[in-house]
Amino acid sequence: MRFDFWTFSLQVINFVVLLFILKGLLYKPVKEILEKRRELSRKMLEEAEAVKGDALRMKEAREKEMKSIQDAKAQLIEKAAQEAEEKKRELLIDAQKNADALIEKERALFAAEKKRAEEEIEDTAVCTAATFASSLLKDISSLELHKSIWQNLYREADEIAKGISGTFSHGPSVPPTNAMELAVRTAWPIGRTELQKFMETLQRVVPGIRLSAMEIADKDLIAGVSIKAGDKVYDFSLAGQIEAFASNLRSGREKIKISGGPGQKNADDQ
Amino acid sequence: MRPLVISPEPLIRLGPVIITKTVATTWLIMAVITLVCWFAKRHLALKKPSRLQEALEAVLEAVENMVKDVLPDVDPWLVIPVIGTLWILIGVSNLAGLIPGLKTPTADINTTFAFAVLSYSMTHFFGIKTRGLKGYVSHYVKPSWVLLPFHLIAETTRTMALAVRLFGNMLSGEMTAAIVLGIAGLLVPVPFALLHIIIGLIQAYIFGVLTLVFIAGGIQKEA
Repeated sequence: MRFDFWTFSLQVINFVVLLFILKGLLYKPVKEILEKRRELSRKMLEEAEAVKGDALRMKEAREKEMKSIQDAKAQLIEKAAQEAEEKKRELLIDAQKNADALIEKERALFAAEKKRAEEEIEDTAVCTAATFASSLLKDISSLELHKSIWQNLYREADEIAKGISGTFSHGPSVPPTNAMELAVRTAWPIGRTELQKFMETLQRVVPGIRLSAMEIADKDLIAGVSIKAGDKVYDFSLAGQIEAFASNLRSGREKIKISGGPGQKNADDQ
Repeated sequence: MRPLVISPEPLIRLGPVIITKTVATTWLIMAVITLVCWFAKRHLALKKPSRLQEALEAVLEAVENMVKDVLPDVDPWLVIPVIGTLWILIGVSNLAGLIPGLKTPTADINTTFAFAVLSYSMTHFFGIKTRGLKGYVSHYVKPSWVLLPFHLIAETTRTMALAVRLFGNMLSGEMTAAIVLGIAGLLVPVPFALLHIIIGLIQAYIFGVLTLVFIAGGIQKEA
């Protein structure tokens, strides 16, 4: 091992030469490549960051949009719920009203039906009572009863005569002459004499009117008579009394007189 | 058995200049390095680099990272060429002895001494370049003039240590290989050759790192 100046010097020179060679062949170009690559990486990173930023902004915008949609959805749901609740309440009110109206209608219907049924029952009862009374009176009626009713007729003679007179004064069917034939329906035979006597009684009240009578037998009257003078009927029969009683029952009349004054009614009513 | 020669072996003489085998081997190494770099430069690519380019970029990035670690406030490319050239030249020189017929240049004390002197010179060069002559020289007398000889002794000894460390390691590797080859023959020296490769690369790394540390000491004011 010894120091060699030329070797030492040449190695120094070799190093320096190699240093400059490598500067041109290695360091400078590789440095440029590395810097370019770093620049490229930096640009790509910046682009990636920009894209990431855009993506984040888009994400935020989308999240805001989604939030607004969610809010709108919640508002819509709440509004729809409120409207549904309101509608439900209205429907319930309408339904309640309808139900009340229906109930009221049904009640009215029921009341009407009840009234009709009651009337039917009443009519049936009246009819039954009338039928029963007719049957009963038919069983107990007799000539004596008939005569008794006939005798009572004289007390009504004035009223009948006035009725006949009124027919001639105001009646719509005024006979062309002052004469009238009375149709006397009787349950029992009256007899010509008795009928003549009654007619004379009437004639005395209305002397200006020439009266005549035609006796018609009618067992349905049970007892008593029914006199038709013009368009008026003077019913003094038990059947007429029963019918009047039934009519009074139907019309709610309380005054029922089986043996009272004569029932007077128009011929049209019969 | 190959004779162990630790003195420079003259190869040719050009007038007063003696070209030793060490220098010739160094030229050969320089030529190979130059060719490789020239080839790599011609095929540099930005997006699809070749394996050679990737290897060179890896070496330079390793140097760059090391310089950045040691000199964070200085442009790394100021010293990368020096440190990189030291690494490449010393590393390849350390491995040159594995090729039959070639002499390891760093097993010659003149070569290692030359590299050590270059390291020493670069330390002063970068120190004066960054701090100025006065500022750089002044650190030798700080905090006291008394420390001047110690500074000089320290710089001399560390430079000599650089040279002797590299020379001793490489020479010992060559001697070991020669002895083992003389004793055992074929295949037995292979593990020693592998060990020599590792040692050669490590020594190149150590030489470069120490040079970088010395340069950093010269550049940084409080170093």
